[in-house]
Amino acid sequence: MRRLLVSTVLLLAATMPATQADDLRLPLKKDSVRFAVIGDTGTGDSHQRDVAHQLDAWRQKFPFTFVVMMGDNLYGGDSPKDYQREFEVPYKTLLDGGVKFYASLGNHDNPNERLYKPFNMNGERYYSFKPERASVRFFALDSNYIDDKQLDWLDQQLAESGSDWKICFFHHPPYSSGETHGSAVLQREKLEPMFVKHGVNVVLSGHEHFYERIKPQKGIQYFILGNSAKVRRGDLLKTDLTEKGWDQGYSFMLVEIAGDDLYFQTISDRATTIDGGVIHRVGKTEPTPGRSAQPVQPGPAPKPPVKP
Amino acid sequence: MTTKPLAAVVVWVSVFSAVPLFATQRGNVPANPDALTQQDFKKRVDAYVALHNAAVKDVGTLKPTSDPAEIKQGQNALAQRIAAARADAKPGDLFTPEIKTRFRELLAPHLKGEDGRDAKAIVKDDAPVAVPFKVNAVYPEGKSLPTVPAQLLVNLPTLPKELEYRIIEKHLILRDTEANLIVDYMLNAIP
Repeated sequence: MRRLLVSTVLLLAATMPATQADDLRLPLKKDSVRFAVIGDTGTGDSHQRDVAHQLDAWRQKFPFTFVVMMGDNLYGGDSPKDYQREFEVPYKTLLDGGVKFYASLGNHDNPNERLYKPFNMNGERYYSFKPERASVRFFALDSNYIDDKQLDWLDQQLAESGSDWKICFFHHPPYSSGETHGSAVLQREKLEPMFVKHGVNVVLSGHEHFYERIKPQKGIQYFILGNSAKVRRGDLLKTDLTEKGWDQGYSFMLVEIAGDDLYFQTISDRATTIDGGVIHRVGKTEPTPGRSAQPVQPGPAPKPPVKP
Repeated sequence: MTTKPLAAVVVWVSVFSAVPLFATQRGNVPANPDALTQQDFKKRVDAYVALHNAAVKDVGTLKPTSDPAEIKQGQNALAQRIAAARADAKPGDLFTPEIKTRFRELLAPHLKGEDGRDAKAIVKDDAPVAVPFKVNAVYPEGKSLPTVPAQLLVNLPTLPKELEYRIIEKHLILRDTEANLIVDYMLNAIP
């Protein structure tokens, strides 16, 4: 009987998502910008809900104020029921708590999702926003459809963004070690020169159903996070691009920006820390036309904050 | 009566469609056929956008809302209005034979070599099945909208926000972005 009980407890432990958010490795600095990253979320299934559950739990210790979404927000349709099942229900606690979501469009999204207010796209397929009193500006792009108009818009927006941290997010990863999709080379050829020219610091994307932190490319830190509801196990190939990768489960990322440092922690649906570290912004902070990104330098994972 | 402006646009589009496409510029001076073809395409696109905008006036502008049902209803109402206004539309109204030829010429160089293979791979990636190649058909709900390789896109005439190109396997469609309608299509646009 005792063996059975132990087995049951172990089985429960293995099958139930963990809820402990006690491994926070972000520094929680005063006046820092705090947000979460999720990608390829719109399944409405238990995996999406597990990740959403973890987001709720970790928000108790790391009070992020907004979430950026890497696209494929709704799979399989865009009826009102789809919005409800694949967004409103899983993230209800966060939405009720005042957390704002900023979406980008994936290849499975109807572009009319831009009209859905809780996605905060202001009716546009691509847009930028700057959190209040923050020294960071985000640029949400539509990587499904990079035409001259979007490129011109991005060029102008980046040029006007001054010394802020510049974070671009969109669906297709410019660099990837994925076997199924791989690097979105054609998008990269159009976007990367602009990123370099204007000093973009960080690029976030999804599409690949795994997590990958790419070694900095031309001074830019690239992340892939497309496994917040779907995973493609074994799809992450061993390449020279990878700094850290994980294709064995579902995850999300917490990010904190303080001064010239960006801290990140990637966490699984089982509350396990997959990756963590700090990116330090160095060099000139003003964009130099025709030149220089503001190179980023990865650093070691920060120590956990001291508990009171 | 709200249908009058749309009716006027339909008449104008119909009249326009009957205009010969390859008239020469200024009397006997031969025109650049490429420029004329692209100019013709632009006129046809402009005419469609005028019709689209008239339909928007009739059914109301799609505005950001927290109610997904409103988005869906607005999209469907617009689609029905446009489809009714161009009930006589047929394949080739926008992609005329001359325009198809020109588009193939614009796309072909970018489908060769390594970049070309990448472009074709992108098109195949998540390519949806069962997309109807039919004017005024609704693009199937829930089907992915395949990414258009940027290299191809920037070599095609830029479209206003009401329209977009999508490549389904080897075929190019012109899609109304707000109404989710297939406006015209071009089979075998890429080799």
